[in-house]
Amino acid sequence: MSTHLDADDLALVAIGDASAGQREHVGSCAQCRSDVESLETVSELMAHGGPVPVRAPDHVWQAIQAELDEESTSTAPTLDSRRRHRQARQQAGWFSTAKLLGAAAVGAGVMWIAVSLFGQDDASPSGPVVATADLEAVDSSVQPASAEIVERDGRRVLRVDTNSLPEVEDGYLQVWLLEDDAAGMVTVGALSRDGEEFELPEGLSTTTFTTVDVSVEHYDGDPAHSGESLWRGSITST
Amino acid sequence: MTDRSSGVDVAGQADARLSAAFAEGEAAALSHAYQRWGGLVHGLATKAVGRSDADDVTQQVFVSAWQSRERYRPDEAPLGAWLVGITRHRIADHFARRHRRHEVPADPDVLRANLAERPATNGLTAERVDQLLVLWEELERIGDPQRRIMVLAFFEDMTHVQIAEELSLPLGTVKSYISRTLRRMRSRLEGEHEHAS
Repeated sequence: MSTHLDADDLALVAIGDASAGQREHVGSCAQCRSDVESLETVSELMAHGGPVPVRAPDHVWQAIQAELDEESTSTAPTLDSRRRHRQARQQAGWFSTAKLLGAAAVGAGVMWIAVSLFGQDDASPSGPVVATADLEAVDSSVQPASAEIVERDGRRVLRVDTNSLPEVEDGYLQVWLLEDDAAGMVTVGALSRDGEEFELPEGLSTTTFTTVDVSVEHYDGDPAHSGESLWRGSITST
Repeated sequence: MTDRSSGVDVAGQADARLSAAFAEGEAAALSHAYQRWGGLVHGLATKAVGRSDADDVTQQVFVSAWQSRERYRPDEAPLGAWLVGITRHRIADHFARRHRRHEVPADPDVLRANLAERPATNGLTAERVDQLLVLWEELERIGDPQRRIMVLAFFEDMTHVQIAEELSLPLGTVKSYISRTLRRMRSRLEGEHEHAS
C-alpha cells in the first residue's frame, strides 16, 4: 500500500487537482478518502457561496443614512443630554454632508479623476495597443463592444469602441475603471459619439483597476456609480 | 515585490486603516465600509433570504454595526469578518422571525430541526446558509491574498496556473494557500480552531 498523502495533497485531490497515482491511493485508502470527502464538503459549500455581487444597491445606503439620521436626532433629551445632543448634531451634520457629496464620492476606494481629454489628441496617431478589453453587453439594449489602451506620446489612452450608443433620457454615459471586486473605482470620463478616448492618469494601474465599465448616469448630482451598467469587460495586456 | 502583490498589500493596509477608523467612529468610515463590503453583505443576504428581504437585512447589518461600533475590536477581527458575523446573526434572526410568524413549535429542538430542513433560497437549508456565512466570515478574517485566491479559484474558475500569473505568486504558493484555506475552513466548520497553518 502506498504512503498516505500529505495534508496539502489531500486538499488538492478534494478540488480535483490530483495525479493518477494520488487518486488511486485515495481510492484504496479509507483514511485518506474520508479526509478528502470532508474537504470536498467544504469545497462544494464554497462553490455555493459565490460569486457575490461587487456593489451594494445605492437605495439601501440611502435607507441606512435615513435610519441613522432619524436615530441621531431623536435621542437627544436623555441622560447627559448636552453631550448626546452634541453627538447627534455632529452625526446629523456628517450624514447630511455625506449625502450632499454623494455616498460613493467619499468612499474609500473611490477617486474622482475626470480626465476626459478628448479633442486634444485628434491629430495624434493612434499609437501601439498595449491592452484590450472585450466589453460584454451587461444590458440587453446594447451590442457587445470593445476597448483598447494605446500608448501615445508616453501616455496611455483608453479608447472605447461601440457600434452604436443608446439614447439616454435625462442622462449620459460614464466610463469607469473598476478594481476586481469593485472596492474601488475611478471614472475616466463621459462617453459620447464625439468622446470615445480618455487619457488615463499616470498613477492609475490597470493591474489594480482591471475592468472597464460603462454606466448610465443621471443628472441627479450624485457622483457615485448608478449601478446601471451597459458594458463591462476585463483589461488584458497585449 | 511586483506591482500586483504590492497592490494586494495596499488593499490590505487600506482595509486595516478602515477597520481602525470605523472603531474610532470616524465620520466617513461607515460610507467607506458600505462601499467596501456592502456588496458582499447584500449578496450573502440575497442568497440566504431572497432578494426581497436582502435590502432589509443589509440595512439592519450596517445600522447595527455603526450603532455598536464601540464594541468592535479591530485587533480581534478585520471589519469585513465582523460585518459578515453580524450578517450571520441578522439572517438567523430573520429565519427565527419567519418561523414565529408561522407559529411553529417553541421547543428549540423542534425549531432547530425545522430550520435545518426548511430550504431557504437556492435550495440551501438554513443550516447550509449559516455554514456558508461562517465560511465567508473566515475568508474575510484570513484576508488577501488567500481570500482573493479562493475567489478566483472557486468563483471565477481560474486554474491554479492562471491564478499564479494573475497574482504574480509561485504556483506552489497558490496551491498551498488553497489547501491550507480549505483545511482552515473545515476546522472552522467543525467548530475547532486550527492554530497551525
